[in-house]
Amino acid sequence: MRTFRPATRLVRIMAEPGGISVAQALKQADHALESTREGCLAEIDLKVEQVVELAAAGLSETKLAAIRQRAGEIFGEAGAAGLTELSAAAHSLSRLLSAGFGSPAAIAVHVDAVRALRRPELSGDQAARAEVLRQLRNVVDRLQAA
Amino acid sequence: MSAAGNLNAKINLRHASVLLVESNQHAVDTLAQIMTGLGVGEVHRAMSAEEADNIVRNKSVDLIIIEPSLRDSDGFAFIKELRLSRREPACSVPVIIISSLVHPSDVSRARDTGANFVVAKPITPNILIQRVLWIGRDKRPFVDVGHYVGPDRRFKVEGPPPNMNGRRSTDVDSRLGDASAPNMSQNEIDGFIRPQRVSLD
Repeated sequence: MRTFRPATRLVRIMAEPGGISVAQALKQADHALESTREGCLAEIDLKVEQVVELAAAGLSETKLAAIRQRAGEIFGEAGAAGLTELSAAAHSLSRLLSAGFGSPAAIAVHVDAVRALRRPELSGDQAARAEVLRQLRNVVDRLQAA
Repeated sequence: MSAAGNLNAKINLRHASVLLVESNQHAVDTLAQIMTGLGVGEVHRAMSAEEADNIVRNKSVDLIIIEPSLRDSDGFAFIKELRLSRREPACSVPVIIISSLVHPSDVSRARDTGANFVVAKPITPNILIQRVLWIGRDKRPFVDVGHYVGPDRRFKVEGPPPNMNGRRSTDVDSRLGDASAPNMSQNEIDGFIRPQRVSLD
C-alpha cells in the first residue's frame, strides 16, 4: 500500500488572497439560480410529459428505469429551484420505483400530484401544497400495503 | 448559522476550473449557474462519461462534480478509471458525487470508486459551497492499494464541522446544551470507573 498526499490545486487556489465573502458568493449563486427558475419549470413540465408517454403503452424494466431517471431529475431540479413539495412528490415516485412498486397506478398518482403542485394558483398557497403531498403519501402507503 | 459556516470568510475560486457531469442539459446548466455564482472562473460541462473523460484528458480540472446515474454511461466507472489511471494531477482531483437516490449501497460504491464526498440532491448553493470548503480542510491522505486509488477510506465519522448544520437525520448539534441532570459525585465517578472484584457464588 502506498500512502501519499497529492498537491491539490483547488486547495492552493482557495488559499490565494482576494476572492469574495461566503455570504457574497451565496448571494450571487442564489441570484444566478433564480434566473433559471422559468426554464426549470418548463423542463419539469417536459419531463412529466415524458413520464406519461413512457407509462402509456405498457411498462417494461427499461421504461421503469427511464421513468425513475426522469423522476430523479425532477426531484433534483425542482429542489434546487426551491419547489420543495414538487421535489418531494418526484422523490416519492423515484423511491417507490426503486423499491419495486412500479405500477401504472403508482405512476399516475404521482403525475397527478406533480401536475397539481405545478399549478400557478398553488404557488403561493403552502397549505394547499402540503395537503397535496399529504394525500399523495396516503395513496403511496396504501399502494405499498396492497 | 449558515450550513457554510462563517459567512464573512473569504473564498477565492476565480482561478478554479470545475468539471460538471450531469445526466441532462438543464441539470448541468443549473449546476453551472450555481458554480459561476460562487465565483468559479472556468466551468466545463459534460453529459456522459466519454465527454467527461475527454475534458479531463485535454483540460486542467481542479474539481469534478458528477451525478453517477448518467443516461448513457456509468459515472462510478468513470471516477474509478480516472483514479486508477494514475495520471497526475487528474487522478487525484477532488470528486464530489451528487445523487438523487443515496442508498447505503450507492454510498459504499461511491466510496470504493475514490470519491471525496457524496451529496444527496437537491443541491443548493449553500450545500455546494460547504462541500468545497470541506475539501479545502480535508486532511485525509490518498492511498494506492492496486485496485483502489483515492482518499483513505478509513476515517471516523465525526459529524459535520463545528458551527455547521448537518443534513443527515442522525447528525447532532455540535453545541452543548445545558446540563439535564446534576453532576456525578466523586463516589459515583469512582464507582463508574474503578475495577471491582466480583464474587460469583
